[in-house]
Amino acid sequence: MIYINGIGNISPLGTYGRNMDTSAEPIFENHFKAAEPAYREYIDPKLIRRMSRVIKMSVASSVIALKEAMLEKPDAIITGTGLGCLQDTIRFMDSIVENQEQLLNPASFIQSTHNTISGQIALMFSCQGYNSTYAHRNFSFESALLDAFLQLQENPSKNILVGGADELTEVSYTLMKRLGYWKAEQSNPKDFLVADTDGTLAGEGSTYFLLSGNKSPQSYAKIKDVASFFCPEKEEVIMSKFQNFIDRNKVEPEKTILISGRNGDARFDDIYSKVEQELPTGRMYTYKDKCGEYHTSSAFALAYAANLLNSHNDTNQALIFNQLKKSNYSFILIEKC
Amino acid sequence: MSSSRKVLVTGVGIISAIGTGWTETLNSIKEKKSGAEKVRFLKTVHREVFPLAEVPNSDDELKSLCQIQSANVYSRTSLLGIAAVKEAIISAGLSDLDLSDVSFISGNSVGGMDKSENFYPEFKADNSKGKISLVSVHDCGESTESIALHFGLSGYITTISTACSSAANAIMFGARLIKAGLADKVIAGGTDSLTRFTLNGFNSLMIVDKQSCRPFDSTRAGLNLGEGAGFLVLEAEDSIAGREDKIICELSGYGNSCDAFHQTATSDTGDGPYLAMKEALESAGINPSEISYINAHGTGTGNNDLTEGIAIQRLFGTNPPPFSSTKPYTGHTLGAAGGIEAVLSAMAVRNGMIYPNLNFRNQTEGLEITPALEFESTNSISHVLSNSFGFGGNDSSLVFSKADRK
Repeated sequence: MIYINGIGNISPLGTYGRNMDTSAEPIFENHFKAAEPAYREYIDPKLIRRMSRVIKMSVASSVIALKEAMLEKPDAIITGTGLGCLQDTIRFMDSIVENQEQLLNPASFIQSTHNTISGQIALMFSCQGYNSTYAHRNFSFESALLDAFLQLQENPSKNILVGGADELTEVSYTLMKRLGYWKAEQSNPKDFLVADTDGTLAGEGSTYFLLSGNKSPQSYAKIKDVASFFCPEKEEVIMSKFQNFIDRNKVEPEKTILISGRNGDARFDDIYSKVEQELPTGRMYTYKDKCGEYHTSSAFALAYAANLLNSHNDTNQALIFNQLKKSNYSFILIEKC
Repeated sequence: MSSSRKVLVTGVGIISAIGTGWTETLNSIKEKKSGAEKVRFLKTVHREVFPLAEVPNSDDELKSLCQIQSANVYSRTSLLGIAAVKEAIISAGLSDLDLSDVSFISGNSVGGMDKSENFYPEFKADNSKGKISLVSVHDCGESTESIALHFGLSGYITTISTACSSAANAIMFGARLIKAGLADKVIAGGTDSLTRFTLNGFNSLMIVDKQSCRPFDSTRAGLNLGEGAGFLVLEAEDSIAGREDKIICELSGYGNSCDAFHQTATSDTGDGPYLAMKEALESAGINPSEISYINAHGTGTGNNDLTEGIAIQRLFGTNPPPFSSTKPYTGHTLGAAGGIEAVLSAMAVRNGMIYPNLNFRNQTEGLEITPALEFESTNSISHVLSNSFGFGGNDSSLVFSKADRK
């Protein structure tokens, strides 16, 4: 059994460990924006200065998760990030252009690599254990989770910090707009999920979990299974894989909360209806109306699910389902302790 | 490793400055041909200053080689990856089979940056300008999916990005999927193409050499940036039925540790490298004295070679097995390095070879050990250790062993 013993979540809904206020109003200014905390509460002010936003969010949410789990340091650190350290990547690209490749300052290059997030967290906790970074679109967090899952199956006494983090920048927002990702400017965050138009609304955030094979008084839930499928243009295949997933985990619709990654993009959202029909739970929640669309939003979804699960008496499982462009599908199943 | 499911290497695919495919690569190694030269395709103000280990084929030539007819944008990272995976599939005897259950784990450091950095200057001047399709291949996962789609791979697909250890971690994760019973066949490794971004990045740190790099040499002045791809076909022993003649060696052990000292420098005592190597040996169930050859990370930078040397001394003593860096041949291929060097290491086991460390003349003060200077053909290779130590302190090591070991 894999237990969630701590959660640190910095999201448009707020900064949370326990007692996530799932009914709060998310911060939205044309896109969902992470409600960042006063970082000095979590990170030495001397270090904050040199950290980009995504690093600050990740380090702080790791500190929160670890504190909740009542640990000094983790045994391993695994991060999922779809686009990595964008702010520093763009800064360095700017400097290359502005200075015509001459006499460049290395600071933003050093912080631009995807593994900087896991690396900075390791420095924070002086953790020399296993350290890795997955950067594969909406599979990034799920792969990090599977990696931890496999390690804990072999070694249940370990404590592993696993998270998903992505930041939104002005440049990346503009580029994705030109690529046709977002809805028209005037979209309303309250009804975009049912608007029946193309595109979705952008979001960002960082959510870290302290996972262990040991149950603790702080345990939120057990992670039962995680699966990701690369199935471009093969709807029948994914429906059969989904059936397989619920069968092998003996998921009972009447006792399950379904947490759907619907993002309001009319081109692709119909697949969620098909999945919802396969598992008629009567308890369906969406989460992208709280955090927006970004590659590691499923990490937010897992924190959301862990909180929701414990607030329902008549359910024992929560199933998170997410997909990207009807090509990349993922499922995460959790259960009450 | 608690699982007893053996992971075997049945195929290899490689492309770098010193050759397209294994045969060309081995010939270049025997001829002591360094791959770093004046660059032909990458546009950079530094073209006359730094020798780079560029694959001598343009994007169009790579497309031809890979028989890609689509007019879609392909990053050079994808094209290099497709070329290497193509060879790997053929060498494992899988080319006529349905590959939909085959998993694909790829490592890279900057994804399709070769294209997005060409888009950026125009966009920066006017954000409505620039060919936006060049940005669609920017992210790390894109090349992985592009390669998977090309070959119809749809088992477990993901991308690892841990700088210079990306491909080694990809191979490790692929092996673990097999041991956990989540996959029977995994193609794993890495790919990266030359970019102004990485060249200028390393140059801003002043660790790029103006000559062919000199790993472990006291006068070493930095790395030669390179590009390429290297992939292994990993298979569960019980899934090879009928293709046993393809078995190259066993992936018998692996280790991953974080140095946790500094973002760009390894600790003086080489902690991360030491722990990664130690864990790899322990997981293979072998003693340091059983390693026949170490394929070092050996980038030619002041910090890496000294700390890697110290870590080797800590683990193996001052009379370690023969060790060498092959980066004077291939350059430092970043996300592909662990994959290219895994191919070299696996084949070193199969054929019984030790590769020379080119350009070494002067002993480094602070190290008592000296790399192997000559190519050697020997039938006493049982276990080879391959090191990949990256920025951010991500240190990984792999052990390859003779397939028929007890």
